[in-house]
Amino acid sequence: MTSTTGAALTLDKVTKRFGGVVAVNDVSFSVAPGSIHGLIGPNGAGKSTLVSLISGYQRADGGTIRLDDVAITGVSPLRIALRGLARTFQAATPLQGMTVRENVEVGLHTTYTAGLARTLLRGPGVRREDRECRAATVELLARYGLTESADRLAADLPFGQLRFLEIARAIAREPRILLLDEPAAGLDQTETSALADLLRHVNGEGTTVLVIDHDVPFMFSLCHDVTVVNFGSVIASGVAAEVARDPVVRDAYLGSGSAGEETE
Amino acid sequence: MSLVIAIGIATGCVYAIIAMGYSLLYRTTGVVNFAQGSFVVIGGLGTYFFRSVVGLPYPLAVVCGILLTGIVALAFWVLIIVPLWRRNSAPYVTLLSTVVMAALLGNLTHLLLSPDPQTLPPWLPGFTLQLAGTQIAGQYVVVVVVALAMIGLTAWYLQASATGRAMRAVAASRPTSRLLGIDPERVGGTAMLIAGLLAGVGGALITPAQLTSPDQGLLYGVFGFVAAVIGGLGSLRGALIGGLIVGVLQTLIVRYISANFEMVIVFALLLVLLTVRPRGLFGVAEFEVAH
Repeated sequence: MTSTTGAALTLDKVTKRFGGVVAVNDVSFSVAPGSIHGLIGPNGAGKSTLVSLISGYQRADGGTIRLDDVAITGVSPLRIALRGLARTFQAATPLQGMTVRENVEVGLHTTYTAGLARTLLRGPGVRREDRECRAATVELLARYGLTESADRLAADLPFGQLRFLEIARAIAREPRILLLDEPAAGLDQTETSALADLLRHVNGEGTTVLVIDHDVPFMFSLCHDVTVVNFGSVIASGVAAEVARDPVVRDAYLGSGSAGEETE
Repeated sequence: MSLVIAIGIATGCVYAIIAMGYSLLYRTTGVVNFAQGSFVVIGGLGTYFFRSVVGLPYPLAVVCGILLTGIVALAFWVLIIVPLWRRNSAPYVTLLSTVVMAALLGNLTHLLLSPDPQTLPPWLPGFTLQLAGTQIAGQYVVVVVVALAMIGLTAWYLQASATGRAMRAVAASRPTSRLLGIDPERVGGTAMLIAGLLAGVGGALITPAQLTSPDQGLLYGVFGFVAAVIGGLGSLRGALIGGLIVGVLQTLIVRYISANFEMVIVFALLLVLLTVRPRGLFGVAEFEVAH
């Protein structure tokens, strides 16, 4: 089981510019270990850029990002992933030509990897790993409602199931922190509430969750803490209920009345 | 006629092994490795070196020859391809490095051993096969049996093992693989190692049946590449079929037309196939080749 102690993420004065445009401006906030933390803000507020910076896909121009108190600014996405950070993308990325089951098994790769020689020799250790990997896959598929689609090509899944597959694949290796970029976008009411339950379950298993979305009711019902960004800057951060009452937030964002309806 | 076909099938099995190396590496990493044929020469002449120069017992020399090929392939990956990848070099630069590597390996073998073609004793001395009234040298049978077993074993490994799954994941998407904690450089290295070992087996197998000389690498590389493209670059089943087609065709041409025409006709076939069916016989969907 992944330990939750110390699995926190800290952003300290992080800045990212694209040409003359400041996409992320001096952003600081931290994610408490074991929490579900929400990052909300309208389209273009810099949310997705923040996800890219945290997961190493883009490099910050200034500031420091710490994962579990270790600076990860400038570290490659692979190394960050191996440090225990998992993420999903806004657009699904099923592995082409592989089934739903295989996609989940690939997610378990770092947990169960017998090398070339060991696999060819088929020692008892390899067979045990195979069994464990299969059992873990079956369990994940069942929890994410994918058992019946297990042998379909992942790319052929309907939109909602594909979203769940992405999450199942990402959390298979029990990451310390899971980043989700707009997980509720495009999901219907039933799917959104199933998503919330799954994320609570993931969190209950010990994974810290950072969710980026602009579905306000979904976010405030799910998250313990919320950080609100607008125009690349943090305008409020704290316990969800308090942030929801913050007049600055209401004026700038929640009060606009259009927040919940925006989709991409 | 049946002798010609038998030799063609045996040669074809070696082309199939080379083609499998091309396809395995290409579909995992997007790299087309023209040194693949030179690995066959290393396997053959390496075995010769360990047996005749070092004086190891034959079976041990075969194992050492194959391992040497694997080491050369892995060193090529780590020292040349990975640095090119990290620098985001254009695919043609990587391709060129493999051609240079092929030439380099040929020249090195030439300098270290001798320019002369070498041969080895058959794996099963005294074994011949009577087929339709013709006597076929036993080594050709050994080539076919062992080559098919290696191809089968590789296919099984790629299908059944976690590493095989990781290779397919890296083939599907390098960024997504990294995201899931899979290192494409390491997985690519495994693919290169397997391709090298396969080619080493091919070289150790074919040298007792035919002569192997240091300058044969590019030729093996070209025929193996044609086999891979005919079958569909990236497809393992296609590699087998393509290898057999090229092997039998080449032997028939040499026997009934002229050795001068083997290249012309095999390349003509390749051109026709590329025009009519660009993905090859068993080509799957085009692979995304991104850095």
